[in-house]
Amino acid sequence: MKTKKQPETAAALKRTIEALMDRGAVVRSLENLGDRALPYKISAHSQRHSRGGYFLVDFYAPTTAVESIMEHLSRDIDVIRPNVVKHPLTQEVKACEGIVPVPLEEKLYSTKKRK
Amino acid sequence: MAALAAVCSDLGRKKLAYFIKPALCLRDPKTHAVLWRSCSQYTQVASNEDLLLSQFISPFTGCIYGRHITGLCGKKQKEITKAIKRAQIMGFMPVTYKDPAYLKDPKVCNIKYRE
Repeated sequence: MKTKKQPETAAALKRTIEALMDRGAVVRSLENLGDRALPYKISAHSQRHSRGGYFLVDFYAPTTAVESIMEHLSRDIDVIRPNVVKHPLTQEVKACEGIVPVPLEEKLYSTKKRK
Repeated sequence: MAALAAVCSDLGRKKLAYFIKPALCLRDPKTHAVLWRSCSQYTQVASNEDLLLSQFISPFTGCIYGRHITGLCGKKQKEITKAIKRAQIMGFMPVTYKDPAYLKDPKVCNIKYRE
């Protein structure tokens, strides 16, 4: 997930996806999460940005490629904030039973042996 | 809530994870349904749903509510805290205040504000 600015987003996007594929990433999909005002002003590459486009790139990549991807993205001027995150849907979802009531009477008195 | 789940399933598997939770949060005030706050309601928290995550921060200071206010169990509180911090760093959610578009949300937490 990264944010970019300026109308030449198509060229910038193409550049980044090509860079991803060079490092052996298989791009599954690219989503545009819309252009909006950033929640706070971000300074990147000696410029203050207040508006950005949000793009979400779904890809498979070897774990070793993450560092080189992040390095490449941080060098790109058009990318304001690069982020690589594990895909949330691959994590197994455990059902949460909620707060389990603990019997507190056992904890009232200390179980240490007193002489 | 079951009807809303049926509507969202048409949008496809990928979108389901993103849209079903906002649907649960937004439509309820019209029907005045009781928002039961159980941890199983939030199965997987991804960091770009600022609608869901904004419900757990204060509108005035933007600080994350503690366990005694949200009423979540240990695991879910940790997950939500991590997701909020991640969203704030990635530029999806503001840090010092709540996004004004989400101020009219139904109250999920136990907090009472002075009028």
